[in-house]
Amino acid sequence: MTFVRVSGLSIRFPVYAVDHRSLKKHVIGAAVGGKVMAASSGPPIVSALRNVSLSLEPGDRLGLIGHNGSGKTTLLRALAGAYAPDEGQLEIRGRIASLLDLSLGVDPSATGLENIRLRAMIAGLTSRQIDERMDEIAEFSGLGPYLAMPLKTYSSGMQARLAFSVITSVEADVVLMDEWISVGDAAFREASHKRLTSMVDAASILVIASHDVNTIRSYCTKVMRLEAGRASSVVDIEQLDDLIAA
Amino acid sequence: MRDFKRSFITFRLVIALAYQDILAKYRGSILGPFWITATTAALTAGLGVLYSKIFGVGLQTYVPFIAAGLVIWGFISATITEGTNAFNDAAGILRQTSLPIPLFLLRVAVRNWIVLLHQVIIIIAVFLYFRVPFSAYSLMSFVGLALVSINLTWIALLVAILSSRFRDVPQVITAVMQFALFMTPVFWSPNKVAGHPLVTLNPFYYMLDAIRAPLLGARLDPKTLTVIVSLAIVGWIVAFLVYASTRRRVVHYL
Repeated sequence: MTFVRVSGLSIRFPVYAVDHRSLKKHVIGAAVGGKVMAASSGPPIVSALRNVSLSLEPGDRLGLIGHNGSGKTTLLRALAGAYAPDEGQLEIRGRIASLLDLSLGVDPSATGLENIRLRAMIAGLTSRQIDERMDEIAEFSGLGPYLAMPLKTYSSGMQARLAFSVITSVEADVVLMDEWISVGDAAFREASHKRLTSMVDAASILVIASHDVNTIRSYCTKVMRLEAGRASSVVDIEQLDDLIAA
Repeated sequence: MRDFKRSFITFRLVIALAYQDILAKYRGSILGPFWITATTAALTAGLGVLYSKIFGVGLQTYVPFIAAGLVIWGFISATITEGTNAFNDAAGILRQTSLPIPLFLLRVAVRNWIVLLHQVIIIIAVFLYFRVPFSAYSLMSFVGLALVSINLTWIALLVAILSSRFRDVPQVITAVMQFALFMTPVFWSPNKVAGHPLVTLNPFYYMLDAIRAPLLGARLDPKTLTVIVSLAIVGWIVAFLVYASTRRRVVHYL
């Protein structure tokens, strides 16, 4: 059974500014000692998430709202497994599809087909699954003969179409998204919207961060607001207006 | 520990990424990865003729010696130097997915094995030309290669972690490897300075020796074997501890 359980999750980032990354600074700091060290002891730390708890069951569609820098993306990345919790627990059962960055892991000099393969492997498909889906992915991308050409010759719209076609070909139990993905021209937009909707419908849990109230209203059943790393409780979508006003 | 296990489970992805790296680097060039082979071959021929005169050693013994030395050194040096970018290059992927971090280390290792396979041609060609006999000892060089690879992986792991934290480290490593090339008996025979600390305390000497000596038909020196086995054990313990204490941080370093 699929579920997402997060309890007391805190994530802190040490911010390694250019200053702190230099070995020289460390060595010199140590040699000089005293004052200089005191002024720059350790990197500044940002608390990106503080004591966040939530629990999602199959069927839940959670919308994350909040200002820029409130921790939405950090929470999504933590759910995707990229950030390890500094405090608290994070437990997810089910296959996760993280649709956070379309341009992930592509090789501009490789052809479209090679990139489909590479991207799909990073998304966790086996070569056999990729072989089975290749035609369908290629067809959906609508790139036809361009697939045999290097990705660097593509327009940004074409690159996005390719990436979109691949990552939405994965079945997942938990879908993570940073804003509703919308790519390509008008015709493709419609087709891709359908495809993404059916992927989301097939998944049992969706977590989406968005600044667009309409997106949240149309896809989510629950909503949570983040403010400077602190999370509100998860409430029903009906209470969205109250949450925004609060 | 689980991270390492998961990295091996995704070995197909490792191979795909490593292969893609090679393709990307040499796309559009006619010789492709054989460019490295050609470069090393030219170097072997040039240095072989020149140094055999300087040292007064016959081509018959010197050319196979330097061919093996250059190929093995190239493998050692490239794995360590490329280790500096193992994590930095994968920043995007590491920040968004739960793919295990050591996967990107294996990618560097596999990439260099692929390069090594291209380079082996030189050794085979030179050995056939100079009729260097293959013996049971030659097979021991595979044992040497395996042990050296194990050592290189922990060195690359440490280098990768340090490089993601401190941006000076890649420069330092490049300089160190350049220096080590001349301090390690790649061009010259260790017998001339036998017992000198430059040789006895140089870990690269033992790595080189473990593969080269059996290849040239000598017995694998028990001392070399002891050194690289202990180096592998101690090194992996250190690297493992460092990894365990930094694995949560690496993604923030990037």
